[in-house]
Amino acid sequence: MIEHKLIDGAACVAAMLNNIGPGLGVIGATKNYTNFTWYTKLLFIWLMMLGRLELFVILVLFVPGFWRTQ
Amino acid sequence: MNLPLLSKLLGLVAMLIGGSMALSLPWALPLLGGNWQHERRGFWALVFSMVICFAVGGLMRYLGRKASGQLFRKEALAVVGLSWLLASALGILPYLFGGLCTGAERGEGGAVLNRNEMGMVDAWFESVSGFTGTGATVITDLEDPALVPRAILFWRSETHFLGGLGIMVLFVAILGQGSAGKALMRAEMPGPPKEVHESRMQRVAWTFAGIYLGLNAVLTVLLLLEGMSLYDALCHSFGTIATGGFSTYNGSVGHFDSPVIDMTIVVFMAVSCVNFALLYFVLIRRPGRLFSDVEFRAYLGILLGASALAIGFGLYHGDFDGFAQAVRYGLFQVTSILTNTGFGTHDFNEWNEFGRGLLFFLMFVGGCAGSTSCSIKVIRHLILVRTLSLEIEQTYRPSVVRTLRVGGEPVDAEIVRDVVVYFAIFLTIVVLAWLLLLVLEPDSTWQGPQQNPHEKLMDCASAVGATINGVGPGLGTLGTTRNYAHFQPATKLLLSFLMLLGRLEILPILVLFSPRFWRAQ
Repeated sequence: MIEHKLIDGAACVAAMLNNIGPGLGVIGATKNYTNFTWYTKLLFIWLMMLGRLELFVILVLFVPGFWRTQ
Repeated sequence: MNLPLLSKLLGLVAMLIGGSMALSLPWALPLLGGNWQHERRGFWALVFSMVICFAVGGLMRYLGRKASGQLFRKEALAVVGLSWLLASALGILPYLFGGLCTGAERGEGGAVLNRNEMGMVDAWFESVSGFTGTGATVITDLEDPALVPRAILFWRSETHFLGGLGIMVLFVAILGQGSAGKALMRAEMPGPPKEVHESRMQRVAWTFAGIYLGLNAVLTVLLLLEGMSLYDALCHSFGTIATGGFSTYNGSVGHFDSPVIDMTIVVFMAVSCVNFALLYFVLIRRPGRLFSDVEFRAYLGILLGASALAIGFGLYHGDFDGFAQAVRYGLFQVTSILTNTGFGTHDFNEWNEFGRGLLFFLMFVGGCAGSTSCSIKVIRHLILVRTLSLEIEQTYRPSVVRTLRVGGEPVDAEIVRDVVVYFAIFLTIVVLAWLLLLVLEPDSTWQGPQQNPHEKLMDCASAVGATINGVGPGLGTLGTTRNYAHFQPATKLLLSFLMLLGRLEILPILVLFSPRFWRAQ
């Protein structure tokens, strides 16, 4: 149902970033993530990793200075 | 705490509020288009209110007649925080005495069956909303002078004007609180280097007040030329420059349905959110300072970028009829929300989800420091982003020490800490208020026609965002075409508290609740 998209989207991000799993509305306790598009799923995968490793370990991988030799 | 001095200064505030009520009086007279039959009550309400204001002011000045000593930071903070409370409390008098109605039940042919006169809570909400430049309203029908006398309606817009002036003079210039850019601000104002602190502050206060009044005057003249009546031109100028958002019509600025008026108001909303110190440089013909200022550039970038996104996605989802309309409405609505004004020309509840989400987040951005804009402000976002990128570097190079720079200028560690703490307090308050709102407001509020109870979560979040950031309208049940009238009294009290917190950047209001703040040293 499109009218819940805003808050459901927020719940998705929270459920991923905090490694919870189910969320509100479209991803409620009895539902799952099947219907999301592939790029949304990629974003969710990334958010799960980000949340699990407390952000920084994943974030530094995207900083060019991290890979450069001193 | 130097209570006599506090009393003396607040007495002055009460008298100024009373004095400025006189400006609303003439609009009741038939000479200026008032219908005396409807206006009589409003006229006498204002006169009574003025008497009470002067009595309160006189009493407070009498109590503070032996005041001595200097105005230290503690007293200054208390004066600012209490000024807004006192002004809002006195500001409700015309609403109550004038029998202002939030709406009316109408029978056949539009005949008024039952007038819903404002209660204390409604009047307090409206008054706080005015003085904090929020523009959230509980009045359903503004256009019937039998329900809402014109003179009182003018007073409602005037509270925006007074609130905005108070922010520029008391808050930004005197308290130097305009910003995280406290230090940046002081560096910005030109002046002989060895000038004494106090006279310098006074000069800044006068400059800011001058720019503020000038902007109001210029916009009033422009709106007059574009076909508004003097009454509407003044009210809409007050709403624009103070980034408030009270209109005199149910349809807000959309009532005029004129692209020229829309664009004039867009420009002035945007200008009111520029640091007034930078506007001063433009006035003394050094506009280079404006365009080299990192905060202004970021603000302009956000404004144009967000408008482009709103217009692009709106066209893609078919929210607008054609490109010209998309630019006109998209630009207006993004500017109105980003600057925390809250005027409306288009019902953004009909926009696509991304557009609505974008507007919701823009509420938390705001304009530049040292302007009439409310919200978190661009400079704090810039400092936060820089802090975070330095922190990421710290995780793999723990020994590197770098000074945080914004636009090439080093920023004090103390200011950086203030900014991070401000974000933390702000977001904590937003989340707690959101949860409290979900408890206070029964589901039945969302059960009317065209209402969706499942929207409650998001609508409550937008209610918190729209009040603490001084925007006014929010999403769903309090969108551009709706208002706050149907909310519970407890909710209205909570939201008016949020407006005060947001307007004074939280701490000046919070310290008032700390017992240690009031204790003598």
